[in-house]
Amino acid sequence: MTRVLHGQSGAPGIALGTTVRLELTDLASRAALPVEVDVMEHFKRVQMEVVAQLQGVARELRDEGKRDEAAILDAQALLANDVALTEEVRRRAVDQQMPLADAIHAATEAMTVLLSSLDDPYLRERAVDVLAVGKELQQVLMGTTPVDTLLSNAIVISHDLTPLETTTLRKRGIAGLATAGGTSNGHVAILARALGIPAVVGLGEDLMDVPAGVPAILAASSGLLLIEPTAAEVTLYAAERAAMEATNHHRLAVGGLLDSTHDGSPFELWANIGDPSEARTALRYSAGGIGLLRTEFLLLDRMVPASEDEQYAAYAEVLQTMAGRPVIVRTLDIGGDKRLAYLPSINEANPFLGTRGIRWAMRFPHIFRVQLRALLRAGLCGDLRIMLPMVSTPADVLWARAEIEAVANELALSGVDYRPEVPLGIMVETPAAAISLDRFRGIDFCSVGSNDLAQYVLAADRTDATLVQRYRSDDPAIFRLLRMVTATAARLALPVSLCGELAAEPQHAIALVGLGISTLSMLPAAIPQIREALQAVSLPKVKQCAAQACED
Amino acid sequence: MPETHELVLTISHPNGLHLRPAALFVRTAAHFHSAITVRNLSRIESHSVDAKSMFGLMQLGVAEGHQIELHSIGVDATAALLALQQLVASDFEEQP
Repeated sequence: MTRVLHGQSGAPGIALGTTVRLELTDLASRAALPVEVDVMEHFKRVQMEVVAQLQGVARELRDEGKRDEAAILDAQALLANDVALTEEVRRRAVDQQMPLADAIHAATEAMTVLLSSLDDPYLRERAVDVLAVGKELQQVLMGTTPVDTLLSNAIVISHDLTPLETTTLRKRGIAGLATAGGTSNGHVAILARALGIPAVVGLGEDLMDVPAGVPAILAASSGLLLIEPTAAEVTLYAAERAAMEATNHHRLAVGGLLDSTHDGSPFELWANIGDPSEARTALRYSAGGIGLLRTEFLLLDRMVPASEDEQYAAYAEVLQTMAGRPVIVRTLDIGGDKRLAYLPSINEANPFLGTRGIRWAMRFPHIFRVQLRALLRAGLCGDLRIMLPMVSTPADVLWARAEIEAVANELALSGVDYRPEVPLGIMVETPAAAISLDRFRGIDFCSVGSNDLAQYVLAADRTDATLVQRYRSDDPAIFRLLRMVTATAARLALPVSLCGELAAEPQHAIALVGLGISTLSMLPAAIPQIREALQAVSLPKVKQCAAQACED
Repeated sequence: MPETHELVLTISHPNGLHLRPAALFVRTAAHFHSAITVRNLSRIESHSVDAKSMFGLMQLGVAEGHQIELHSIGVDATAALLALQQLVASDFEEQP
């Protein structure tokens, strides 16, 4: 009869394998240190070794773009080398002549008790970090390396794991993790998600009765551990795992990554970039696509605009790097605070309300057409989409569409290969576009430019630092307007995303997903943090945050 | 002649002085020779802790909106407080 243990899902996935127990060897049974060694000097060496290990792993994670996960290990390194900890250990090991291992144990226990007694749930959870540091110090002191001898089908069972153990386990290629303690927001869960190890946490003390070496299934997405499963269960879960892997491959192939909130509501995180070379950075941060490729680099800081071929090469580079993932290219957004040396300057009292974005393209159509030609040609290299900036009336889009058709005809007549049906969308950054989104018939998608939208809705210049602090882009007026936009978009089945600084702020990203904007585009480096924040929340929670963002 | 300085700061970071902000705070404080202590004015039972200790800061349980009092003695006491003030004012801005 299968024994089933219930816990919380720590990281999604299914693992079939054999249980392996991972516990610290009994400390009391280990030999004491030679007496001639100065105990605090020895402790210092142990501290340095733990710090070096933690920083080494932190560096690896940072190289993979996992900045937030690296920060967990950095903070642990600070704890391991902490002056207060050293003092607590000294008091016990020197003044009270306690064996060093016991002194470390007692000191970290005492600090954990202190933190646990605070009326702050976050700090109570951090008490676990202190225990983890104690465990790491003891492991180095004792020379135990508990994660050395694991097989690839191991389902590791443990009371709790330290961040260092969790990251080390990945290298051993284990199948899954099951812990008695921990929560879905704890460090083990966060690291397991980042490292792609299926994990169930909070299985309770019953887990500790499970023997080593028995067959088990870890259904991590449902928070279950099945001990000694039946043949039918093995077949069932093996098939489910195969199906999940197939879906993953498929999603990776077509673009979006398999991202979802804690309770399975999907979201996508894309990257804003301003230069073709940044596409590789976006991939490193596992962006599901490029939500905004700014193209001003083709015109700014040069003597002449980039030629059609140069532009084509730039777009093709991004599309090829992104390998089939969506790439939204925003056509030239000149004007406002961006000016060109080689074109006649336009004298305006209010540049941000003047000839910028699509209005600028209407003024200099020959430059716009070069860009369109390069874009239509590059459309053959991947999932290209064209987005128009600073649109305020449907006539703006009609004009651009006519230009695109004219350019397509030219290309066809001269026998140049191009993609005839490139999706066309608009930036929603003027209040007019936001309020009357339903009037823009025939567009294929829209993306909220929250920086400019906030500036226009609040009537506050975003280049003025004093004003920006007082009239913030997270004003309820902005969220209320976005609520209107998503309602209209849902009615028209129009895909809506958001690119702007709002998306890079965890609490705002949660509110945006709650409003129904589940594709967020941001600077690549912000993606891991936002992913972590969104994976940790549930659908009811994001809806609640969205409602709150619309009120004071 | 060592200087002695005091400063009260309000923490506006939504996570208070939790793990990552606390780590930045400790690292910044550790740059200076001066002895720096912190107390959480917003918790009645709070005592002074070493600003260079992660454990110390964690014990203070500083949450968003809490006021902390810094006290520093040493050759670079002013510079230390200025640096910490700047860190808090920037909302613990992390470099990518």
